[in-house]
Amino acid sequence: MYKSKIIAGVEIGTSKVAVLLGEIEEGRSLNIIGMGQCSSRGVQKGEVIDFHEASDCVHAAIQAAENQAGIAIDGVYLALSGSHVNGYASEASISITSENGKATREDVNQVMAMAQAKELPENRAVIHHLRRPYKLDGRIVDNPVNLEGERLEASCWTVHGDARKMSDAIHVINGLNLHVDDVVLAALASSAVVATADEKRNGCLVIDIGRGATDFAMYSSGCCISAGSLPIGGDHISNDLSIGLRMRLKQAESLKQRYGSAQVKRSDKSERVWLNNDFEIGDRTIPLWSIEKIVELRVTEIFEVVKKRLGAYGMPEKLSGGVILSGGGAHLKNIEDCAEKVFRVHARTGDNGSMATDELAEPAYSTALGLLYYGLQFQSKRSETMQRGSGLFGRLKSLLK
Amino acid sequence: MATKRKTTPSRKSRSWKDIDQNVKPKSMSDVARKRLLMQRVRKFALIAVAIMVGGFVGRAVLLSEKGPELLAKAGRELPVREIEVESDGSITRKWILEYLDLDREKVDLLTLNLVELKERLMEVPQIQTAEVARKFPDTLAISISERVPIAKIAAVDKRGSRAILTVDGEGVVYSGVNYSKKRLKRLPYLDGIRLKRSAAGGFENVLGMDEVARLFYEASAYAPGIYSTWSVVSLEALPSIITKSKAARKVVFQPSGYRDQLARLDYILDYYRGNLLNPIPVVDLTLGSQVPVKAVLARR
Repeated sequence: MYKSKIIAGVEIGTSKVAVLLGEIEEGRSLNIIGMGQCSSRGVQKGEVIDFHEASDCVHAAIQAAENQAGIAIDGVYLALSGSHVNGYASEASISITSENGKATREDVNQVMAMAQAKELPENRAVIHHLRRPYKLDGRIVDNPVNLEGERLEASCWTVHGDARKMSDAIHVINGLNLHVDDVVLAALASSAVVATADEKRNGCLVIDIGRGATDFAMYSSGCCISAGSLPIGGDHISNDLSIGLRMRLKQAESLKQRYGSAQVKRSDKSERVWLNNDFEIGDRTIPLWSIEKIVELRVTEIFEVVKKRLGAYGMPEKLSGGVILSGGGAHLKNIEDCAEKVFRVHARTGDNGSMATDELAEPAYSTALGLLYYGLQFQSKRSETMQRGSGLFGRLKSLLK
Repeated sequence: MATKRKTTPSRKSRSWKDIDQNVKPKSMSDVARKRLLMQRVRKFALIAVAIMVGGFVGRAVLLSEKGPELLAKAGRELPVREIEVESDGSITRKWILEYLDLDREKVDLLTLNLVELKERLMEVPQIQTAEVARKFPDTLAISISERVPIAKIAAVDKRGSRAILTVDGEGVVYSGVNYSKKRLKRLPYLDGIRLKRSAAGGFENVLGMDEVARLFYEASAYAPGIYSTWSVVSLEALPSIITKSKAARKVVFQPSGYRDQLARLDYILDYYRGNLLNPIPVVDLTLGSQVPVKAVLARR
């Protein structure tokens, strides 16, 4: 018998703080029962730079969500992003020594422990150990237990971040007397919603373009094999527009949203658009081609940096599932074309439609929704574990079912 | 929602889970402090409700058992179905029930005033100690221990009517209840005293009875033949104790060394009996080994 459980996802982004409350029913279905959102303050490039300002807006968003749901929460799943987030791959292998030559659970645990044993520099803390597929005598296997072989290899992608910056974000949550149940890399959360299981199995890249940072997660054989965060995002596009076209940042942001395109599609360079479009003194016209060109260059640059970070994994043959774009930056026109041009694979904008409708279907809420999905998966696993480990009573109960 | 994941022992790297999440209220925002306060109030209220519910459940469980089930009826009615009486003497159950005027059909176990019942029992001089207790679900238990009479007093009141009173080792004078005639007959009369009425309506204690009790104890244990012949014990010459019997009209005991005195008396009485002498008028054992015996030669 499952009980309904409330989970909360908090995304402290550079542009906005989004809080979603979900109710898990029957251990599997998730109902979104509360939403809180407010403009970010005290956050830059995904990192807290003013504790009090960040606390004020995060607390306001959480309380708004609580008020809408009519419940009080005591813990949250927190999305993490920022330039301090990094990752590395580590591998380990062991010889199978069992008498029948089959890999055991102990072998798997041992090789994984070895793969995760690498020490981090001071002030760095592990966020995730993302397990990659196992290799048993060179062949990829999902679960090597009870399979015959001589050599078992395991590798994982360890995502780590600056412990102080992470603790800043966590303490913002703690400041409302809430506990952070888990920290999830923003790209992983997004990909839980926008990428399908088939895409992950075939190999896909999820890129979450935020205002201050871009997060990415690369999947292969259903496992995340690489993930990270870049300190560039939508703000940088606006910044380039501001500098290149000599306007205020706010005007550049508005212009980007109205006319920005990640690929220059027009050949007429003389077409111009009004900067403010309010017919007031001081308004001027801007060449549309220039806007699109600047945006294209910047977005291309972001994708190029992601591709560079992925190295060999960024090759088209590794990305049969294509590139999936999410985050507020995915709203840019023609951004799929730009991604296809850089990665030379099919690209699409992520859709939250499978999980949510209306406002929440926007890619800007992928991360917050993904946090709930992540929490749902974790709770389901926990329930299964609890059921399996419930001893004689549990076994009797399962027999009676 | 708080969860902890198991970590493998070989993992040396620091995890985000190692970050201390305890934040002191001082460093919280006003909103957070208010929220913390509300959480504490809610927690306190929850605990209070839990305690109350626990109390009610506990009470219900207790009342679901047999005894307390009847307790639940206590406020209304809990009749006494049985009265247990335990006595180490001659007072019977019937006498106690009549004396206390206990009617099982009318008595309610919980409304009974046990202290009052005990006080009433203690008013009976024959009763030395009394215990009255409730035995749930429906029993009243009365246990008494009685005084042991060692002498009797033939008293005559102002109207001239005669009554036999008894005296115990503590000098308490009382009118024995249910003492058999045989038992009373065996008791020696107490003489040489002046009975005084007490304020409570009874009699004041007789002084010197403790020594009499000691003498009687020694005599019954070591010289039962002599003890059984004593018909009168007199306290007229306190601290000396005088006993009177057919064999020795007057024997004076000093208040210590009763066993030696009894041995000497036994020797004297044997000597007299062996020589077919008349009863001894006086044996004064207070003078130690020089026992003056006033003898009267028997007629042959």
